[in-house]
Amino acid sequence: MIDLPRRGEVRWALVPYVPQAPFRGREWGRGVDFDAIRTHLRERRPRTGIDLELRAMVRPVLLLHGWESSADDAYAVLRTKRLEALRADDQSSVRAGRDPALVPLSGLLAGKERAAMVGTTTRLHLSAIDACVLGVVSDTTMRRISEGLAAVLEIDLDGLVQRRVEAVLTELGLG
Amino acid sequence: MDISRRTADQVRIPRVENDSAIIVTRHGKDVAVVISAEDFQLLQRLKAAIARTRPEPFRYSEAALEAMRDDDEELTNEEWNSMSGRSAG
Repeated sequence: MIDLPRRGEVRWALVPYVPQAPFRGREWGRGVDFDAIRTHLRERRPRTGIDLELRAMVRPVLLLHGWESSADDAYAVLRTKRLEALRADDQSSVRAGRDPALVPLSGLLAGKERAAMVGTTTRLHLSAIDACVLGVVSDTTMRRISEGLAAVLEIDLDGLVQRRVEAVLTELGLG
Repeated sequence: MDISRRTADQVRIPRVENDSAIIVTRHGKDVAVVISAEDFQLLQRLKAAIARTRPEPFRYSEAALEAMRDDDEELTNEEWNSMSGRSAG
């Protein structure tokens, strides 16, 4: 029995590459061959889906939420990148917090200095996540990652912010 | 917002003061609001200000794009040993 994942933990995990359908598509820019997809689905079992052969890699991932908010034993994670793999000036930029898509993760117990890649949201099943916790990032870092996610995914938070402001004003007796 | 103009002799409108509004209803539902021209201009300025503060569409840095593309890093011994069920050495 492994410790259930918690928000902000960094753990090893088996992370699939972005899956690509098992058919030959046309060159990008000329459109995908949807006839080939339809033929493939007809020949296989379209009602039960297709078993894909996936490539995967062992990587440290950052958990975006904990077991409390996992309804199906799957977890949203971000892939991470060794900072030393970046150019020196890019490393400085990331450490200084100037790149919203690469957020530095400090305090990992093992391995090299890393950054969370905010544009790599992935869902993993619990069985693909290691029990060992490499580190837990701070609330401040998680807030920066949350803001980065909103920017990268262009999530419209205007309504949410407006309701929060209104609630605060009401709480202060100013609403 | 689409804005059109009518001269005062083309429509019948109630007189409305600044900082007040008249809600026009039809079959019990609010269908229009009459406010002063000054308040309308203020509303337009507020909408424009909100639009100006909206963030630009996100653009990845070259470093972030490169980091996401290049994923062939090898694990160090220390990293390999840090996985559960593995011991150093």
